Amino acid sequence: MLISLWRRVREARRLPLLPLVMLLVVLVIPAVFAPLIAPHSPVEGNLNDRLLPPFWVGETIGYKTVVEKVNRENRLNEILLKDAERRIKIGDGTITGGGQIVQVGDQLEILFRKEGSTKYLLGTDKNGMDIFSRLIYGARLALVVSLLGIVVSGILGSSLGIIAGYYGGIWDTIIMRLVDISLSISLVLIALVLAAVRGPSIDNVLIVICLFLWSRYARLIRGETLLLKSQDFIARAQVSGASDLRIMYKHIMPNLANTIIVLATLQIGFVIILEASLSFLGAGVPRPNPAWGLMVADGRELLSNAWWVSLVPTVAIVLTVLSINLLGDWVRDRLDPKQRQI
Amino acid sequence: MQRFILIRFIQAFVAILAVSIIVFSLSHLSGDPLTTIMPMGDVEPEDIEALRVKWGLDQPLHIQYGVFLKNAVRGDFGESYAFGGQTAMGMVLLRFPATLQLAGAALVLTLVIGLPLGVITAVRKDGWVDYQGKAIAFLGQAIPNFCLGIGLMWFFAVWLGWLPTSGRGGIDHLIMPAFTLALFQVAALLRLTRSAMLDVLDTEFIKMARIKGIPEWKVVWKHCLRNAFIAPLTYFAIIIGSFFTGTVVVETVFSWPGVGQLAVNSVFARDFPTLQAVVILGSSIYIAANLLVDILYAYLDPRIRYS
Amino acid sequence: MKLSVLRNPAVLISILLMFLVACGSDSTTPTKAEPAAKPAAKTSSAAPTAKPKAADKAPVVQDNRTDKSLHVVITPMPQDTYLPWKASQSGHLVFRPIIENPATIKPETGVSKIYPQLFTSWEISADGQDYSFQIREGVRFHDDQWGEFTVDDFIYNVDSSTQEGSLTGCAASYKAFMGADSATQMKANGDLKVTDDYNFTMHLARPQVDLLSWWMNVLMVPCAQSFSSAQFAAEGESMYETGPSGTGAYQFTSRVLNEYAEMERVPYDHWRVNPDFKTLKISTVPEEATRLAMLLAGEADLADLSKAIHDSATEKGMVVFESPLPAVGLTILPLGQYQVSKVNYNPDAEPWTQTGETGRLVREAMNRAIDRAPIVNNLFKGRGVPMYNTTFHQTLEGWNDRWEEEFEAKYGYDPELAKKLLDQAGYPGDSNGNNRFKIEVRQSSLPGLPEVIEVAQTVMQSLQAVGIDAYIKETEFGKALEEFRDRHDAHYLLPVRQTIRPLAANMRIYYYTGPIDAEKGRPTRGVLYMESPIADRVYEQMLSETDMDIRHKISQELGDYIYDEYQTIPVVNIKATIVGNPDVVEDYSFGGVTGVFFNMENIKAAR
Repeated sequence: MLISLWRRVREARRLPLLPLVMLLVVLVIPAVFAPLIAPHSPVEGNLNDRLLPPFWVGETIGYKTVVEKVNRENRLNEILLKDAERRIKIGDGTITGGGQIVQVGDQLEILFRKEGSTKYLLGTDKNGMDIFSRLIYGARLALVVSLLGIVVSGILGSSLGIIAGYYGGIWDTIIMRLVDISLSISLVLIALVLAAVRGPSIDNVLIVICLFLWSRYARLIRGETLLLKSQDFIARAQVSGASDLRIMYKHIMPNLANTIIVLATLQIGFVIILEASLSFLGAGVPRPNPAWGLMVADGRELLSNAWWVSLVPTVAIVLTVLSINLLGDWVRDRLDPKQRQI
Repeated sequence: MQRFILIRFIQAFVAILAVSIIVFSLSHLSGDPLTTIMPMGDVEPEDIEALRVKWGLDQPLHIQYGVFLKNAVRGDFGESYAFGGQTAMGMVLLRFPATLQLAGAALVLTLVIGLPLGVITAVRKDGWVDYQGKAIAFLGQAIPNFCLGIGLMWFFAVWLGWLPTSGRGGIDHLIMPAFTLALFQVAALLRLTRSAMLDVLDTEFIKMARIKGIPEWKVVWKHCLRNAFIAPLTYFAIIIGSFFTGTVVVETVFSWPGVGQLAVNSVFARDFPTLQAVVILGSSIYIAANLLVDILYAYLDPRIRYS
Repeated sequence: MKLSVLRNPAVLISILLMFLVACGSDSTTPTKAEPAAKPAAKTSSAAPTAKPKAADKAPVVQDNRTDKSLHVVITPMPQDTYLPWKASQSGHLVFRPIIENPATIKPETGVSKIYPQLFTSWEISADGQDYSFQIREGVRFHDDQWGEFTVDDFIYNVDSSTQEGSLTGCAASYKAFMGADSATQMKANGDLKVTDDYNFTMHLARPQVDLLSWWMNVLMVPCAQSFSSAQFAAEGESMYETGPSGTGAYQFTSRVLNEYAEMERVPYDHWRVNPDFKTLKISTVPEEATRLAMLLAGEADLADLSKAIHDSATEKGMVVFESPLPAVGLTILPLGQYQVSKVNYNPDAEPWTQTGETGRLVREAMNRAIDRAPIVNNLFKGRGVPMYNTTFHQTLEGWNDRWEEEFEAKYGYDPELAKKLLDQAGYPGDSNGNNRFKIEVRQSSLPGLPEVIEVAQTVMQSLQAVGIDAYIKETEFGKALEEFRDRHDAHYLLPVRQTIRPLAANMRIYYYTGPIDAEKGRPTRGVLYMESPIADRVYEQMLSETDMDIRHKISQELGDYIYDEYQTIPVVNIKATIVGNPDVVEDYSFGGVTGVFFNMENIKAAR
């Protein structure tokens, strides 16, 4: 029934429902209501609860450590043993970290069992932080970072693009060479250097995003401006004595609005992916911020024994970017169908 | 025409100069290489100072830049700090073929997959093929490439054992890294080609061709594609540029001994000479490629020359 | 493009596939459990770092030679070079199997005991300044034409590491105790006298009773190796790239910087050991997930993996080999105590830098606030051992058993007491006992110790729990190092990795400020942990003291000071581990106290 409903909605060419719902569920609602939804703090963990699986995952034997009887000479494993002996004495079979002690002859075997529980819906990471809560606060971060990055680079890039297109000549040359330069430098490396200079920070990520994106706006907008400039109504405005600023603001800008909105929508996904790549290289959002990219990057080597640490945020990223791109496509078809090449 | 080429050449040169200033000042801001290079705590201060003088790091920054530029023009970026006894340029050139191979393979994959898929999805609009194509396009642009790389490695190398996990070797070593690097661009090219094709398919000129009775495959693959190809072509410079950026991540994941990995290493080791060599060489290639495309365009389309 | 994409089965299948890829691994049953921890070695505590007279036991050459090859994957170091003197720490791992050193250590005893290797015996005079050495006869170079290892080769290798532009960690120290810029110059001065090819004496410019420990290959410094002087005379520097001839049990095959090094077993009977594996390849792979994948796919036989992913490997039947003794320590430094140089030193700047009672109470409170049990148990999974005092170690001189016995009473986890101590020190905070003072916790990943990230996080939370306003700042370690080495205004908590070395070496590295630079009016050496007049005095006394018992007592004074004043937050000592494929590798005993994968020629092949 749902499918037929969905089909009808789609064929009515109304708002694309599924991506929209998906976006609301994964990104917007968590971002807005984060403190209300999140059961735990996104930046505080408990080492005793590290790497617990999501609630639906049953018992998994995490690891087994065999401790020999205390050997004063080598002073090994003492805290572990003291703790174990104490627990055995009080008849409690478990030790910190969810381990279970089994006595085999002279040896103590400590079996660490990891079991999912509803306390941590989507499990915990290496710090023992709740992944669900981090995911929710991460949505907020993703939204803020990508919107800020896009707005700043959009304003900067569009203004420069209009100036280049409208004035032409030396302005055009300078701005377009700047575009060339920014496209030619490997900005991933610049991000790495920035992280080394200033320490990883959200500011750095924003700077790199802006450096990445402004040139794309500038390029596109310049081309559009060139086309607009040759049209009659601009010439008429010039003849009627309107100032350049006024022409750019009153006549060109409104005609570019659609293009800018389309480009901006399509870039959000790209920004989220970029942030993840920067985190992978160690130049992204600093710990312990709950950035999705950081969560994926920090759990990447755990794929085979604690897959949830990186897979859960990966799914969040994929779903978000997917639905944003779908929405972006729809927006473009609606507002600016000729910009298919974006 | 000659004047146009000359001006573009000068502009390209200025752009490379600007890149060199940016990378030079940024790298020198990133910290003292001697702290990273000299063993922790166990070096006498005189030894550090001697090295500082030897490498010219005691000079004011603008003088250092002058010396750097003078040597860089001759292709001499100095001795690598991290790879003692090797020149920075030597290290980059040593690593360059690996990156070129990877980027080249990715480019071929992009073209071989992206372009035909773009055409087919346009022709079979709203058909089964179209859906699959769009699925590839959207997923390809939604997965961070290091996730994809690690996932592929896990699936094809560890589980199935079909492909080697990493490193450079035969053609089998190339498949996963090249695919990882290519997927995002495959998606982009597919979307681009599809849109362009749809536009062209709608034109009178194609309708005429069909009416004339030219076989359908010929209409699509010859007449349409030739006209639709211009849009993806302009996108080409961006694809190439993004490959050199993408290799940084992909080379790290697949332990591919290329320039990208070298660049990451040089940032962490504060290996200024190597970092500068990598960035300037990479930018020069990109700028040169763009210059070539511009000139080609101007040659093909006289309007650009005079605008 | 239309939205029907999402109706598309391919999308769903792809997403599903991704889930499967990740989850499926979970369902595989553990095939082989990790074997019981190997019996740990018995070590004598506080053994002297140098043996006055070492007896040469005739080596028993065992022979289990196979035709197998061994592939080891490790984390790349930021530096890599063909030239041994052009790198401080890195490029040497790949040299280790092909060279030998005058003396060596064994994994079971660590640096507490030094064994002869290329030298068969040595004698030290009572004042610690005169040495006589005997070089082992009949140790040939890989390439027959370069003959045997003699005193000339020894002199060449020392010269090589002290030459101009040397980046090795030993150059300055060598020059200091040799009283000359090179061994050749020392010979010219008459301080190094060559009796014959295998016997020579040295008169040092200053007492240096632990001289032999400077000549081992495990201190992460590439000094006193065994390259051939004759080859160097014939081929020059290029020999290091094309095929240096050493004396080790493996000989050079090929090498590409920052990528791999290949070696093969010497074709003759080696005097010391005949390795089980015919060829040895050491590759550097930056990404940990990739190293794990290589191990599981059978491409690598030994992989350097962090403890967090040991399970992933052991579940698939891999085995963890661990060093018998802890290899590195993790300690946290409350920085800013430049008491000697007084550079950027303002004792009142921060609560923990204050002199006297206040500072001590604050530092004790910080120590009390941290629960070490989950760190040792959960983070290091039983491969951690509590650390009772920074820089000092149970197996080395200067150790005081009191530190361990009193640890629970003096350092034990007690947040309530921590709060009281802070009240007492004059930091009661607000009405709820919060916001007592601000402190920055630096977080930076350290090579070989990735868990430090989680430790910093835990420390921050623990301090917050007692009302200290702690926050994390992430920096690259190199940047932090630069700051506190140059005595910037560095006031923060810095978790650092501490290699367990002979005490004198560590004291020099971590505490010694050196003579005052007349021009700048401050100590010449950068300082890493803290500055203290006590540390300087103790180090200088130790240098000239040859009586081991007295040295032990002297150095204990510094240990007591650090311990009783709560100068650091000792956390944990960690055993070095490497994960291997049991089908290929049966056993690998390595590390000792330095954590370096050194004696690769002793890796046992599985049968």
